[in-house]
Amino acid sequence: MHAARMTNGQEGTREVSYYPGCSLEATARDYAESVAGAAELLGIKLNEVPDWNCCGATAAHSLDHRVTLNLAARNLALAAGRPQPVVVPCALCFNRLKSAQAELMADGAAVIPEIAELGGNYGEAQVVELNSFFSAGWALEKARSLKKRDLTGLKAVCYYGCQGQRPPAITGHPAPENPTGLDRLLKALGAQVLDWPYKTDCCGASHSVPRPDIVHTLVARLYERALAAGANCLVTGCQMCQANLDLYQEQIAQEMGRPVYLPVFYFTELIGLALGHPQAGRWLDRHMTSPRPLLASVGLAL
Amino acid sequence: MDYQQDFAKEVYEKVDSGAEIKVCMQCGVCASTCPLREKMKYSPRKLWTLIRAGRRQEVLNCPDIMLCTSCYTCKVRCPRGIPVIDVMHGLAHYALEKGITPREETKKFGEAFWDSIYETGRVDEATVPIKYCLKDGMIAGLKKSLSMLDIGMALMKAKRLTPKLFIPPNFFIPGSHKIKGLKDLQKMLDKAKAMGARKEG
Repeated sequence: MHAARMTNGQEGTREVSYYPGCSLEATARDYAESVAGAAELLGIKLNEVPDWNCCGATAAHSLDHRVTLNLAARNLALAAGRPQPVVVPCALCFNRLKSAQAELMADGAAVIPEIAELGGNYGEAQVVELNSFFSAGWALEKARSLKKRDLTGLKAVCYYGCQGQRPPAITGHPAPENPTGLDRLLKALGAQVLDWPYKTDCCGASHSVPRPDIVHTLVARLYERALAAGANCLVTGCQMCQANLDLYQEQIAQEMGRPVYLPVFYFTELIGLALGHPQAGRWLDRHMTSPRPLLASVGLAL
Repeated sequence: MDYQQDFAKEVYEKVDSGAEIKVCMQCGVCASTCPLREKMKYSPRKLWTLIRAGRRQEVLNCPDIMLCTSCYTCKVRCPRGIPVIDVMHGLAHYALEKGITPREETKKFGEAFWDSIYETGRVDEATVPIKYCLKDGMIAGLKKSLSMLDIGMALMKAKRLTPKLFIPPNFFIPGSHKIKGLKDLQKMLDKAKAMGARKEG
């Protein structure tokens, strides 16, 4: 499904384009570092789209639709003619680029001349979410064969959030109500994956700044269900979800009136952990809810 | 109580995706599926009813039309295929064009986000919350930003935010983020905004 270009000389190395998005330059630094680490381990060369700009996310979209369409158009034009697919670690960027692409193919007239001058074909970029790229069959096989240790003892619920799946007419996701990519990846890494009904529920996204009460309500609901399922950690592939679940855990637990200890891993960190990346500890130390006590308690101490 | 009989027609004709609500059968799947159901006075289902009833002022001033997190669940689950989220965004945009601000904080946050894109081409997560707080004015803004101080400090310690957090929000540091094609991007943003305004003119 995700045909990636094989580079000459290095057998098994795949070269793809990479659109990191703004968060990975700031609060999601742990994600960015672990994406680079996991890609290196799996023999994927990430070729960053040159001079990319912000996708507009959901905040700009709430003010002006035409602007967000043009922000995405510039990125799609820059990504054309480069190695495909274009992998995107952020679910919001993924969704914006895919949505804009569909709209641009239907009606290119909305593009401003300065962007049109870039001359790219908006339909050329194959925009793929990073977690589905890393949970494709070839990646699972490679992860299994390179694994240094099983992640035994991690009882994980995989949390996919919203924008990677919905709406399926745009994302092309085959199972928007029950995605299983991360589940399969985590099983391949030897973790115990638990089923739970909140895989694709909303975390409140960017409301964390203007309306923290909303994020606290939604995240409390996710904690309740994750704990009820018997989980000792959450695994995600979206930095917005990770931030909302990780940053305010102590405060939300207080509001819930019960202890909550649920480290929130990026799937890329767990690839690093299982395949023995030397920097894995450094990534995890950037979390607000430290995974170290959990890892120590299940014999996976770093 | 205001009743404007032609309001439904106005929504069908002028609001993006507005005509889609004609087929609503009031089943309530949107209401039960929305993660923010308990934060809203009016669910989408109720809003459609108010539109049909002609309650223009109440609908366009309703903060709930600007609360959406864009999770897309309603759009996926509506049995009549109504793109509920698009109608909600359409209503919010329409209200803003008419000079109404249904929800102050969502508008201010969008503007802070927007300012950051305009200045550098990318969003700087360290300054967006500060910019957002300062939209309330200096004193109120500083007070509001104090509530985020703890998490800001912790993120800096983990090197997930850089200390330019304490630099005035409109001060630009050379070399930080700024994309090469910024001038063209800004031209594009100006034009897109002007076109948007003209369209509604």
